[in-house]
Amino acid sequence: MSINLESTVPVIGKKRVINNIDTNEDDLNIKQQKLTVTTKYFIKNSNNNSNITPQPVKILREHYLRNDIPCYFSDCSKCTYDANNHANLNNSDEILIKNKKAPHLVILDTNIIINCIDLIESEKCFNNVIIPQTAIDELKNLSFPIYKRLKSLIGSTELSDSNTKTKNIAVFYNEFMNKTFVDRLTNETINDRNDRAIRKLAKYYNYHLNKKQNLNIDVILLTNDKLNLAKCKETEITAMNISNYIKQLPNGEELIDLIPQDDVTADNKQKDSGSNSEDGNIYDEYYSGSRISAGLKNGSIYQGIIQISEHNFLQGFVNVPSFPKPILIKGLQNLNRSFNSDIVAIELLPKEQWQQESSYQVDSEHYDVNANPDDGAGDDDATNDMAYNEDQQKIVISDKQRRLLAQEAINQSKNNKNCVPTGKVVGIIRRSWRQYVGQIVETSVNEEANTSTSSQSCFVLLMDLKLPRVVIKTRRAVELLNKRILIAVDSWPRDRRYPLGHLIKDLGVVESKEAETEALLLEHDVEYRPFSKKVVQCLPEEGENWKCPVDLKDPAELAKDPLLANRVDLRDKLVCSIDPPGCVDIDDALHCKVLPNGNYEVGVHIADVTHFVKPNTPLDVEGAARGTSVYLVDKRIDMLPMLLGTNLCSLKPYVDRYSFSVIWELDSKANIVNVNCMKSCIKSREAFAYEEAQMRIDDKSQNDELTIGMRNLLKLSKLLKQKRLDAGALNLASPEVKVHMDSETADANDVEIKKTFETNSLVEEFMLLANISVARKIQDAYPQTAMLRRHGAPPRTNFEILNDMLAKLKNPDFQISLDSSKALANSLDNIEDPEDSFFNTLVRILSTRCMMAAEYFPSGAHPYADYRHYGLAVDIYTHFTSPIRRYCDIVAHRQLAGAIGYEMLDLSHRDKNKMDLICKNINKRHRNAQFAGRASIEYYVGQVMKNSDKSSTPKVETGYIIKIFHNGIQVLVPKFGVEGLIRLENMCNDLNGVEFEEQEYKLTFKSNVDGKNRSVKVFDKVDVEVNSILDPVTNKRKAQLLLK
Amino acid sequence: MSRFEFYNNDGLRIDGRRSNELKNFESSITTTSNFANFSRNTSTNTTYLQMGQNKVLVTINGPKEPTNRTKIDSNKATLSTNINISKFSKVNRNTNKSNLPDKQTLEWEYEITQLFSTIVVLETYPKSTISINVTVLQQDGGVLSAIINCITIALINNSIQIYDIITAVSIGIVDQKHFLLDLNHLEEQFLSSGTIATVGGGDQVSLLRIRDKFPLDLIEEFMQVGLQGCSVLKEIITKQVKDMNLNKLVEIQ
Repeated sequence: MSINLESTVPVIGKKRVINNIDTNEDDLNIKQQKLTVTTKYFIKNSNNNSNITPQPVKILREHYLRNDIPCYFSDCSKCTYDANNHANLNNSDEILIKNKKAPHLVILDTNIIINCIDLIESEKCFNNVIIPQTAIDELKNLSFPIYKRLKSLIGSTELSDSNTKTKNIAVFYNEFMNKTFVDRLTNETINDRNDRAIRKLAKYYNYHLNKKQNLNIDVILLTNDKLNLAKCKETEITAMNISNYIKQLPNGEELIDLIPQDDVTADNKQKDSGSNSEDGNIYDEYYSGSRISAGLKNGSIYQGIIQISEHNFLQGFVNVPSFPKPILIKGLQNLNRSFNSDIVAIELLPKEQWQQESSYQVDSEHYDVNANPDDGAGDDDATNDMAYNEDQQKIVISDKQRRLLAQEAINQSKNNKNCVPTGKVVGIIRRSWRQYVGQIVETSVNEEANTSTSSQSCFVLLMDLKLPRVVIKTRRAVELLNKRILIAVDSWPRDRRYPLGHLIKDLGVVESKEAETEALLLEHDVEYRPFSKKVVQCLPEEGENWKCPVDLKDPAELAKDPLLANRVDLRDKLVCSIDPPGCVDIDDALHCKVLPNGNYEVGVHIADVTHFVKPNTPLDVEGAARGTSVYLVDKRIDMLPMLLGTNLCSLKPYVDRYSFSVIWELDSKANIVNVNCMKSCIKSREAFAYEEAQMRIDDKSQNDELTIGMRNLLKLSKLLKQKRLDAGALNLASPEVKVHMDSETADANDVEIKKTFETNSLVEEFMLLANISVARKIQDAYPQTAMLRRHGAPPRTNFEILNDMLAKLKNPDFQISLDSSKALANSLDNIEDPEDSFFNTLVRILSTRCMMAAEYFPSGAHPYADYRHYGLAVDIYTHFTSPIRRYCDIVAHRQLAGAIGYEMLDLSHRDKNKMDLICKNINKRHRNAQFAGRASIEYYVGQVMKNSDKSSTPKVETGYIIKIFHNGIQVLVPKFGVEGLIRLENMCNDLNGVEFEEQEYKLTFKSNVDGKNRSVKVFDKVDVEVNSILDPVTNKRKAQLLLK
Repeated sequence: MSRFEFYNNDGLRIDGRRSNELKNFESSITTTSNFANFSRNTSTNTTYLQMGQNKVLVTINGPKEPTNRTKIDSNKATLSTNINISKFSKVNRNTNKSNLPDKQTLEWEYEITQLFSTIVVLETYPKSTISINVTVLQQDGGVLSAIINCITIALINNSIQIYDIITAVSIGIVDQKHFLLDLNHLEEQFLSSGTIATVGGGDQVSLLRIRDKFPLDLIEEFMQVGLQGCSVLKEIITKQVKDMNLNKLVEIQ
């Protein structure tokens, strides 16, 4: 991008003289482009010198004021600006009915943006919005996430449903505008000054559009601040608060539910502070920020991410580095309004209150079902707190005692298994609140109240059962029953048992395919909206017709793309691709040739995505944000637009495609003699499915060169695999199932465990080899910032319970060794139950769950020894082979291109901080994509069972018990890959005769089938009846298991 | 990562300038308004420059007889530069106890000496020294460019013969594509930046100083932007010097 300096000569600032809205001087100034300067100053506590106590320093900054800031209104004839780059506010059809029939502009105050960001994002209102710079600066300091969301809205946003309606949000830089800048008066607080600045802006707009140009546009200032509203009245600015405004919109009725609940809290605040009695409050107050930071420093308070237990939403863990085991937080009081994965500050409880981890299974859906959502504190059924029973005494502990306590706690958690130190949340450092999917709890809705238009409170149960219910206020409660809805959490006041939230969107009827898919995408934070115009513009102009140049040396082509000279022509190689059946995004292809010296030349060719995705283009930014493609059962959410993924980059057969090739010379023992990487151009001879490839290899009659090449590849891959296993690579299992879809109705109709062929492992081996070779190369070239993937060794504690279970229940010799990955692999092989062949797989499944997750990282983040990939047993690894569906591979491609001198590596991949950010994001996206995929399979398995339920008698399948609770057992059914909890109530009628032996992992109860005593242990093989049921509370279809 | 947005979509920088707008530039021939004074004391008058919030004082001593006889060059004058960055010039007071200049200042002194040795007509002043004393009173971004500009003005004010005017300006890069001219201290703190000085506002680059990691492929555009800035600065300096000297003349008469 070049800067056109000829047209605009640099201007120099002059001292500011005047800034009055009403002067007519601006007409004179337009041509002169005057720039005036003022200084703003503020006082800041310097913290540069840690030895010295912070001293306040005065910071001076220059602040230039100008006259050339346009008003962004399309009909305005006074302002000139480049219309392409900016939002264009126009006479849209958004009209306030109760006022005149004139279009209007809205100016937003900071408090409106913070509270109503969901409304601003909504397509139904706020189509012409001016955001004052004052507000956006304030917002940046108050809430950075909201600031980022707002930023993404700014600029003309196309709305998905119609082309005519656009969302026009513009920032008016009022602080830089001579006429709208206000100086801070003496004795004026900064907030008052900002309010005044926003009012002045409203006044300017009114003057600019209506008095000077007679455009007749209502300028409305929205604010929830009462003082500000009152001041506006004095100065003839139309101002209103959010609820008044929404009510006046034509579609206000529908939108009124979307207003967050706490916009009234501003009014209530005074009331709250007046009544200081402790009676109304359920939860303890959080400590002040200064107390927490002091506590963190002297070691009496700890900070960490809270992880709510999967089985019991009333208990959570906080991992604190100084403790060998996580600290247990038990009970609503101690969790103290924290959400799962919030960053919290905790304090240890006195030793008397240390206790055992609860072995009850409690989730929010079945807990406290009859509570009244309107009721704040009233509901005090102590009986509900079955897992939590503890008298709350105020015990005062000094900091010194606390440190002693901590010492004791460390010892305790080292020595004693049964009693772990417990803690209590005393402050939230960062909330993890996002938008949640859930559904309204039927019992909390009063159906009769619906006739009136008044809104009622009701509970929303979130899909993530680790989270508490949320109270929302809505008028459409009855209408929304049985629907998936999207909500946001607004606040959790001390006097409320449950947090308050508001409705954002109605996703559709429960169990409808669209609603369920959207819900699970939202829940896993997967971006699924179509690619924006800006992104699509980055694709090659030729579109579908893009072709590789016939001759790579053609001067005309070389002129177009100077990098072409470095590309190698490999179209003569016999390349083929092997993929799952029906694969459209083919990103890898292989070839093999016997060299004259008896060695093999093996090439892996990867789609050259980075030829099309150049760094820092909108396309690249979008890809980086998505991080990975998401595969659902019936849908694929692409990381890159279709044109690239399934056509231009996809290594389709019979056409020329650009690729990035890694070519080895391997000897007959599959040792690497040398390796070479290059950008190339290939022509795939055939695209096989795994099964086809297998048949072709096995077919003795086929003896063409391609088939021979494939046979050689298979032979080499077996050698490679053996080498890998010898080095200690793990073969871990997780039940993977495939859902068959009916081709006509697109309904799921069968489930099967995925089949694998030898050719699967053929492709896999060479991909691994390519990844390893590339990892070495880029690490060599960029020792600090190479994009790598590591897999840490699992900590011993993860395997403690599993080993204990194995030893006690199966065979005392069964021990999973953790000395090395090789030892682990061997010990897994040894665990064998002669009577049950599945047992080994079961242990493998369970040990997979004890493993660490692999992660992407820039090479500078860890020492070389920690690069190791534990599962694959290699010292260095990266992802290189699937650039169409993973962003990591794109980065690796660019780095490899830089390493071989093909082109300069972009600076953002050479910067450690930026690489850190990229890795963090793709790790998160990768995880979310996995969860979304699994959730999708789970849903369809449920559908399959629902469909088969109609026809036949209940299915009885074999299941394995994998965990035992006080009040139920967890069973895994390998056939469907499902796992479910069987509650005690469903297994026996008489709860008194139940005996739970935790040490023995054993539960004894009187069975309700035959009335006999029955005891079950972990690893027991049981017959279970598999039904698909719709949970009445959550409206979630899941497999219900019944013990036979 | 910094949370500052250095160049927003509407083409404005944090202090309200556009990418190619220079900071406030005001120079004066002396710190006092009493012009009667320096008619008698011309050799040590002080030039003061305020470039944004950079406040720089330059006094030029000489040409005069060198104190140290061994340094005499019989053909031309020798130039020496001394930069004094005052301890209060930054937001946080420099707590360094010693009075010795730091490494950066020493480098600057050397570079400036080299730079001006090529531009001052040294042959006119044989067997003498000209010493340039710079005092930085307040620092903003691009101090080096302010110092160079101030010295140029000071040389003119002291009637020392120079071939042409040297102007300097600092440039920063945002997101590898936007070039910002004349940085303030926030921008200088967070961006890769550099200083460029040219002779006579033309294409002749006499100093190029780059700090931080700097992509080589951007250097051409970087210099282009710098050259434009320098040529504009030349106009400004010429105009301001003319005005100043006119005033001086009026005052004296």
